[in-house]
Amino acid sequence: MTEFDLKISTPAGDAFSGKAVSLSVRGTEGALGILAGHVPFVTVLKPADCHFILPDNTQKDFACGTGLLLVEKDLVTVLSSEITMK
Amino acid sequence: MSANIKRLKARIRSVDSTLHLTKAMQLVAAGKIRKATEQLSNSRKYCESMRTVISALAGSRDCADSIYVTGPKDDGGKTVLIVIAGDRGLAGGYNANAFRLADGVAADEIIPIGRRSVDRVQGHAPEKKSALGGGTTEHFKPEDSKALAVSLCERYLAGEIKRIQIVSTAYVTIMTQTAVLSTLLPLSECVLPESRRMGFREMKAQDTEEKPEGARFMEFEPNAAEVLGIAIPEYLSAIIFGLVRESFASEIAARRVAMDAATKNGIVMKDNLSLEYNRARQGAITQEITEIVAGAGR
Repeated sequence: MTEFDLKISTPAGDAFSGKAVSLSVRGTEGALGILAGHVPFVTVLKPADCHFILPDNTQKDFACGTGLLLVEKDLVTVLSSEITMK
Repeated sequence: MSANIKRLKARIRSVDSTLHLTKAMQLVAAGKIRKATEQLSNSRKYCESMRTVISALAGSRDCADSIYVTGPKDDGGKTVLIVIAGDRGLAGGYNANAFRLADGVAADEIIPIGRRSVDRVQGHAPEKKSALGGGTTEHFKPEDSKALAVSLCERYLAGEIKRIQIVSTAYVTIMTQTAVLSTLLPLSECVLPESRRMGFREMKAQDTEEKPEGARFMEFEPNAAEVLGIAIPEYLSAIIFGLVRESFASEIAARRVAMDAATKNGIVMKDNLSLEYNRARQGAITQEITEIVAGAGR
């Protein structure tokens, strides 16, 4: 399994919802990448330019403010009140 | 007789103009309800994800002594109540139900959100009114709730506040809305029971004991207490924004139903008055003819 469900969520609605191959964000401990099958975990996100790769290998960029990253068994959720898709 | 006809005509005109108003308000509410419920479902999804994270954090061992979970040690802090009500009236019992529930809470400070709520607090308990809040529910933005949440968290950490509660209106269906009182902080009064119900357990690298079946495990980076400290303002902001959106959808739904009922009642009232007016008019004409005929016969 190389894909996972990714949800980039803001209070005004989902900025993105679909399959992704990888996700790169900036946590409190530094940059981190998420692939399918990651252990369930939660971390705080720092404001940064982030990106994710779609199954067709295209890269999508987005700017993220302070928020949370929630990795569950089949779902990765980025939660922030400030997200701008590029 | 002619005085009665004049009075009936004036009443029909008055009911007619009220009907125009109720019909217009019903149409406006019907137009807004789709957008309001859409915004509600969007913010609900965000709130649910936030609640999952906070439930997992609140149930973890690292956070058991956190001020956010247990509340401040000394009991001197205030109880802050956020009251979300509508921007306008003519929405059935929507505003009154929220205020009735808020009146039953022993709060030291009230943060009103929505014009009606601001007016009510200013009129009934101006000494309790907070400098925070205000504004309208329709144009309440995520930035507004973030600013409010950050300010509340700072005061909570300083020990100024011991409890934060919120009165909002839950949107059940378009016909049913219920005023609800919920606690935002400390988490031991709201999220912790939920966390236990959801079966969250914190996962530790050194954990060797057998994991109980059905439990959900989660890791926190760098650690649960630090994540909780940063996550709480985001959580409060999300919940306040979500409840404002929910209350706004409830207000619109309540107004649509109230105006629909008012329009129906208005139509019935206008029909009855028209019947009465026609009868009176016909009676006057018949009397006039009788008088003319009687006069001609002499």
